[in-house]
Amino acid sequence: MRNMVDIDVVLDEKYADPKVTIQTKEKTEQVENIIYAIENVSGSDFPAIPAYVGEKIELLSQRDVFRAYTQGRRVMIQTGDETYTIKKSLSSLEEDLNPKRFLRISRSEIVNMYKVDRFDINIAGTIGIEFENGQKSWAARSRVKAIKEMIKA
Amino acid sequence: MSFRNRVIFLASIGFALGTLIGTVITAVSATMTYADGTLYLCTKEFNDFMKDPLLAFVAQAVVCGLYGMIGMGGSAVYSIEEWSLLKATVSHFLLTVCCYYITAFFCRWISPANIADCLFMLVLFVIPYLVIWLSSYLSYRSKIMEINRELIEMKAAMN
Repeated sequence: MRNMVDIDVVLDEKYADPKVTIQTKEKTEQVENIIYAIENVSGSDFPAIPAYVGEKIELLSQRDVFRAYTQGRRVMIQTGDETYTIKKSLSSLEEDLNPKRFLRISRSEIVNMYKVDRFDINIAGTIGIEFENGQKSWAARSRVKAIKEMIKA
Repeated sequence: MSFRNRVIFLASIGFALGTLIGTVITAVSATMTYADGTLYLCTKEFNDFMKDPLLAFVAQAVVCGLYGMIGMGGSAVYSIEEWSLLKATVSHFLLTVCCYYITAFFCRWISPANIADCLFMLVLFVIPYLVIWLSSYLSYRSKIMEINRELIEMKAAMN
């Protein structure tokens, strides 16, 4: 039998926007799913991303995500100073991300355009990306048009 | 489109294009050498090599098709994201030039003994590759500079 979730609704005038507090013994996948579900229906922004360091889960706000990329078989996600792993595929993650903020810049990477400092090109014709935290990456030539369109809009 | 499919697609078009262009050039040079009343579809050396002039013509057309197939199929390397523009350009250049020499020597268009001819053809290949490379690079560079300008504006608008 699955773990039954107890739901308590407490009416309190001081909460103009509902505040959800989850009381649990440990932060399991079920808890993570509940949070995810609440984010999805609460109509606020775009869903937070469940990210892992080992077995520890952390929910990342999309605003904090700099980039997501594949590394071997794994999909990594980076904020300003931390690197996490996520359980979804890059394409699946792409569907959850705010398209006004994030762009797929190569087969193996999605970036948060607002965290990009600048683009550059070297003599070999490789397009470099430098992020606000100094992190560097590269963009595919075939995505230059898409980058330009997103930034102009 | 997967890389494999792209190669097959380009190679098919390349074969057709190669045969076509090869035959057109054959027609043009046959017209130019027609002055003495004899029709030369291929070079004299190639006709002698293949013994039968008609066989030589067909072989030349097929070989031109193969050359076109390899050259155009090879251009799929430009779609490899992980390869820099330079790597793709140099690779394709080397592939095309090597295949050209193999084709040219086989069809007796030029002789390996004639260094001047060989060098001349090399220059004839280097120039277009340089021009295309340079114009691609400059085009991307100007787009990047524009993107950087717009990026600053975009982020400023957010705040």
